[in-house]
Order: sequence, then C-alpha cells, then structure tokens
Amino acid sequence: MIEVSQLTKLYGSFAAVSDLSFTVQPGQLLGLVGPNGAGKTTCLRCLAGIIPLTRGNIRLAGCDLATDSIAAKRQLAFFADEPRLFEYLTVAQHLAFVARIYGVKDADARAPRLLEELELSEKKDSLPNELSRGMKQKVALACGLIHSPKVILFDEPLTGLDPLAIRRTKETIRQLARDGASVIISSHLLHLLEEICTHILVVKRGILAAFGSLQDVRDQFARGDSGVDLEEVFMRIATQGDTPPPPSSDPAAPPPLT
Amino acid sequence: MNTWSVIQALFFLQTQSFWNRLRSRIHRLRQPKYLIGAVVGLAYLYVYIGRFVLGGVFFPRSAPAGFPFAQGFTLDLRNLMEGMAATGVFFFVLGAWFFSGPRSSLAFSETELAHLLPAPISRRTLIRYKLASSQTGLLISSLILWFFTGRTFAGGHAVLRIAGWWVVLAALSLHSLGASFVVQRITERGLSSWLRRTLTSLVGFAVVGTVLWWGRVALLVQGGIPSSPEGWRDFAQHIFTSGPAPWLLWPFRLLVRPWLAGSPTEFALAIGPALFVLAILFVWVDRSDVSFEEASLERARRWADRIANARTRHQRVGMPKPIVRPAAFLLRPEGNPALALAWKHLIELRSRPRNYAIAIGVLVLAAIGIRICPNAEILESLRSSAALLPLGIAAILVVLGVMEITARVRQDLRMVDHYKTLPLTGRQFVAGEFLGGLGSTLCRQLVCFLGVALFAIAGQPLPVHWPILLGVSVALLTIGPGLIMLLAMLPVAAALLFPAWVHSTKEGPGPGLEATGQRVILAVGQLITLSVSLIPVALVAASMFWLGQFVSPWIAFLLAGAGGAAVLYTEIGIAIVFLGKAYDAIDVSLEQ
Repeated sequence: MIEVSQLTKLYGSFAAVSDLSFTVQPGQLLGLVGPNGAGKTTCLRCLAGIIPLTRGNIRLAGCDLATDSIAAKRQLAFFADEPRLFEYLTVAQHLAFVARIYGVKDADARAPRLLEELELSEKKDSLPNELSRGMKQKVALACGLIHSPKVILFDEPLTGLDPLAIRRTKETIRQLARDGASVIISSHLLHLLEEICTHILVVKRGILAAFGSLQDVRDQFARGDSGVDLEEVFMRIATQGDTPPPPSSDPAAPPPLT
Repeated sequence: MNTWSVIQALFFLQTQSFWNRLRSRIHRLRQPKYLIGAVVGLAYLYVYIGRFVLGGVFFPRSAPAGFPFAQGFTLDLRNLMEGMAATGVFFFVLGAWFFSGPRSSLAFSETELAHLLPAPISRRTLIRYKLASSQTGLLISSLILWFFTGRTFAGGHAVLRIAGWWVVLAALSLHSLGASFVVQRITERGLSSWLRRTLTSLVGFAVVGTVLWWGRVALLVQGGIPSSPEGWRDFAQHIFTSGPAPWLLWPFRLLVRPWLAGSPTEFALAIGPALFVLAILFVWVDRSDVSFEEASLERARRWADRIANARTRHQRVGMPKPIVRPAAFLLRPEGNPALALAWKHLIELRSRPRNYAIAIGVLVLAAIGIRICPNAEILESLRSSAALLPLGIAAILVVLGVMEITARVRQDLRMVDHYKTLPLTGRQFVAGEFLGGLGSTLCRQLVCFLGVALFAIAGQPLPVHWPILLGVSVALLTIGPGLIMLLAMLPVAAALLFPAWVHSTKEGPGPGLEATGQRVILAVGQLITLSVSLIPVALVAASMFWLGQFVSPWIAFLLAGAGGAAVLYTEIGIAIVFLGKAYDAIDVSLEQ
C-alpha cells in the first residue's frame, strides 16, 4: 500500500508539489496525470526516495520512507522512462547485483524464471549495448521485479516501445497489480491510463485537482455531459482557471480550481 | 536571410547563452559550500593569473631578468624564430591536406543543425555563421597561448601578441576548412585518398628536400658540420634567410610576422600582409560550394550519442565499447550490499586488462634481461635500476588507487538518482565504492610483489634478509590499502559534497569558478588531513616497532604494521560513516 499524506516539495519559495494526499491500495493501479510542469515527476521522485520531501509523510507497504528508508525501499521498484543499466554488466550479472542489494534469498531460483517469463533467457550473457530498447526495458523490469516489490512506480513506461512491446508491458503491469502490488503510472498517454488504471490522480500546479476511481473522476468533471472520457476530463482540468469555466447546469459540479 | 541577420542572431545566441550560464552558476552560489569555493577560486585566479594577465594587458610587460629573450629579439634571432614558426605552419598546412577525410564537415551541435538546416539560410551563410561563431574559441585559444608562451617570449605588447596568435590560428582554421572542402570535391571527382596523400607527401618531400639540399651546399661552403650549439644556430639562421627557404615559406612567414612583432610599429607593418593572406583564405572558403550538411549531421549525431551514452548508460565520454567479462568472484544474494558495488566495479575493471599485461610484461622482460645478460657491467646497472622497478610501480599504484576510487565515486554519482532508489545506506554505498577501487589496486600491487619474486628467481640476491623483507611486505600490504583509502577520503568527500561538478555531462552549467576554488581547498585539505591522521598511526607504529625489536627485527615490522593498521582503519571507519551521511544528505533536486 502507498500512503501519501500532505506531501510538499518546495524549491526555495516555489512549491513544486503542495499538500498532496492519497492512498493506493494493494491491487490498485493509479494513473498520475497532469499538464507539463504540474509536479508529477517531483511527486514520483519523492515517492521513490530520490529527493527528500519538504513536508509530509510517505509510507510504502507500511514503512515510513523518511525514518525507515531502507525498509521502505526494499518494498519498492521504480522504473524510470529511460532504462538505467550498467554498461559492463551482462543481463544475468545485473540480476545478481540487484539480488544482492535487495538480499533476495531465492534469487538463484527466481532469476532464471524471471528471465524466462520476460523472454530474456537467450540474452542473459549479453551486455546492454547489444540489446534493443525493448529488451533493455525488459532487463530493467527483471531487475525491478526480482525482489517481488509491493510498491511499483512507472514513469512513462511505454516510451520508445514498439506495438508488441507496448501490449506486453501493459499486460505485465496489469499482472503486477493482480498479484497484489500497489502501482502508480505517470504518463501523458491518457488512453493507456484509461485502459489499465483503476484510479486516477490529476495534479495541476503541484496541487491535487482530482483523485478517485476512474469512473468517479469522469463523473466529477462530466458536468452533466455523457460519454466524457479521461482526455476530456484532463482538458477541463487543465484549462480550468486559465479561462472562465462554462456555466454548468449541474449544481454538484466541483468549484473552479484556484 | 542575409549574413548580417545571421550574425545578429549568432551574437544574440552567444550572449544570451553566456548570461544564462552565468546566472545558473550565480544561482548555485546561494549554497555556502559553492560560495566559499568561488571566493577561494577567484582569489587563486587573481594571485596566479589575474595579476599577470592584467599587468600584461594594461602595461607593456617586461620579463624578469634571466628569462630567455628578456631583452626582446635580436634581428638574427627574430629571423630564426620566424623561419621556425613558418616551418611549423607549413607542416600544419600540409597535414590538413594529408589527414583530411573524404567528406568535409562543419562542427555544429545537433541543436544548431536542427534550427539552421531547415531555416531559409544559404550554404554560404551557414559557413559564415560557423566562421563567426568560431571566433570566440579562437580568441580564447589566443589568450591561453599568449599566457603560456608570453612567459618565455616576453617583451612587446600583450594585446599585439594576442592579436598575432589570433592571426595564425584564424589562418590555420580557415585553411583546414578550405582544404577539407577541396578534398571532398576532388574525391567526388575520382581522386583516391592514397593518391592525394601521395601527392601531398611528394610536395612535402620536394620542399624539405630542396631546403636540405641547400643546407648541404651551405655546410660544404662552411667547411663541415658545426661542432657547437652556436654553430648550429648560425647554420639554421643561414638556411632560413638565404637560398630557397625564405621563398618557399614566404606566405607562412607573412602569417607569423605579427606575432613576432616587437613594437606597435612593427606590428602595424606586419599586420597588413597577414590580413591580406587571411582575406584570400576567407574568399577561398566562402566561395566553396560543397555539401557538408550530411557529414555535419553525422558528426553531430555521433557526438550526441557519446554524450547520451555517458548520461544514461553509466559510461564516460570517450570510453571504449565494453566487452563481456566474468565476475571476479561469485556474488551470493545474501550479505552486505556494499560488496555488490565492489563486485560490479571489479567486473568493469576486468574489461581493461591491458594495465596488468603491460606491468607483467615489463617485469618479465626485466627478469629475463637480468638472467641472460652476458656483460657484467651492464648486468649490474640493470640490476640496480630494475630493483627499483617494483617499488616505483607500487608507489605509482598508490596514486592510481586514489584516482580509481575517486573516479568510481564520481562515475556512480552520475547515476545518483538511480542509486537513491536502492535500499542502500550511505555508509554501504561509500564502503562499496572504496572496496571496488581498492580491489583493483591490490591486484596490481600483487603484480609488483610478483616482480620481487621474479628477481629472486633470476638469481639476484635481495639486498635484505628474507624474513625482514617478509615483515616489511606484510606491513606494507596491511597499511598500503589504508593509505590509499585515506588519500582518497578528501576527493571522495568533495565529490559527495559538491555533486553538481560531477554532473558536468548532464544539462546544466557544469563546474564553474567555484570548482577551481574547491581544488585549492582540496589540495590544502589533503595535506592537513594526511598530517593529522597519520600522526597517531606513526606514533602507534613506532611504539610497536620499538617493542618488537627486542624480540626480532621482522617481528618489529609485523607489530608496527599491525598497530599502525589498527589506528588507520579505525580512522577510515569513522570517515566512512561521515561520508555515508554526506551521501544520504545529497538532494538531487538542488544539485544542478
């Protein structure tokens, strides 16, 4: 489970993220969306323990990231948009390295199975420069999954992948959630999020603009219109405050963001 | 779009980029650690460079007595200098024709190409843009060259010297460009590279041969080979001032003459012809109509790929392609994670086995030489110098070990955002880095001890009794790694406290003036750290040695090593805890 409470990150006087609170239960897939510069990456980097919070609290699988960061990170896998691999290590050596870092006791049994599942067995003695981008993405996935993380963060997971790899990655992400992991995906591909996410979190200018199940978020911003998809929701949130909102016939419509 | 508009755009680009870079660096100075570095760096630059440069610019600089050419050049000397400099320029020009590739390219960045190639700009304007934008670099190079050569060739006005350098560099740059255009054109018309290089070589041989032939004639007239340095100097002067050389080198002499001018009047007389040569070169390049775009794109892409590799794949710019290497040892999944870092580093180092091969090769050759040498005198000489070889290499390895550890840390800090997601404490990270760097150094040091063994096998009696040698060896092997770690502490601390410098290959302003200050602070800090930390080590080691000598000399060495090592490694342990905290405190978001 991911529990975020009043997450705030300040750069001097500028608030990149302000008072963000949400929870992702095991098995849930949360799509993190927002316009460029809204604070999505900052939020993800805070969750991954890359940058410290200014205020607030993050708990990953019950472990506080600030006070017990090692235990929290043991439950975490963070997948950056660009696979980060070591140039001199083969695929198998990558897994051995990560297994030692995470102390995976049954790594000797898990690693071949994982390589088999991700169709990397034949490439286990290859260096990253011999692999295609999709393959590298798979190696990063294998490294991230070898310790069976309970919290998984993806930053633009489909960047640069071909259609076949996209389909397989989507299925892998779904399977991870089915296996009980709490998953967050940050992406601008709204149709992807709409397809695989159970929940949506929209941030705008560092503050929470919408959060809930996919249907709840759609309903919240439908303003009486039918068939409103995530893209329309995003457009309405993104333009809200920049231009005067259209008069709504729905008295339950949310107030404009400030 | 006309040339003037392009130059205006270029001026805007360069000035804005400069100010934005400066602003980013000033912004970073809000952190006291960078501010202190900047203040020290500024003071250092003023003391060692600023006074010298400013003095040279605003006042005619005279060299201290005893400097070569302190009194300026005599006419003969200037002729000699002019001839030598012109010869240098001639060979550079010849090299441009010989080494030029079949396709000419202008060095644009990918961003420049993305903006300029689709823009409504003619090829000629692009060339002018490139020539104009290269002037900043040429001026900086002129300043640096003046600074270094000014100390030797003192006298004259600094501004004139810098202008003289600029004339030479601008001419060489223009010529290289023009030559590459012509080479591409003649290659496209069917002239092969080997034929072009043969023709270039023939021209070179013809010129050198003619001058040498004249020199031979001069020697015959002079009555034989000169026997003193003065005789050789007179002979060279004669070559450069008479016969074919002055004529063959005439255009090159025109170019170097402003640089050698001893007064503003001489400079005024020399600059006209030099600018005339520059103008001819400019017209030549400007009129060239060669399609360089594709080659420039390829060149920019290659460079961008190398930078991208360095950023994303944990590889330094310019490193060779990696090859698969087996691990040095089996890494079990359980245990201290720090060992995983060391394991990874050892795999990387095994990809560069040449160091070991060279060291072993030298030692084996030395041993064989000693074994088979028939001459007793030579053998003695070989022995005395070869005996120092392993010791010398061991000393170098200490320095290399420090560099290795520092390089490991700096390299991994480029991926600090990746490491921060791993369940690694700062202490484990630092310990892993030290172990990795140290492991490779110890392997190399063992090669040195192998060298000592080879001497023994070769029949060279060792200068000391073997038990004492054993004691010294064990003591050195115990304390040596600690010494390397101790020496590496401060550079590693600097990398952890000032990670923005390490990020110089990423987007951002890179290290600025504060980096210079930090290096000064580092050098001073290194001395202080060493002195302070080695005093207790030395005291304990000396005490143990004193106690041990009552038993046996080799026991004394062993005890001294053990005692000193105990203190040393305690100090290192404490330092690793502090460095680990520095790693934990790195805020990636602030380090830009």
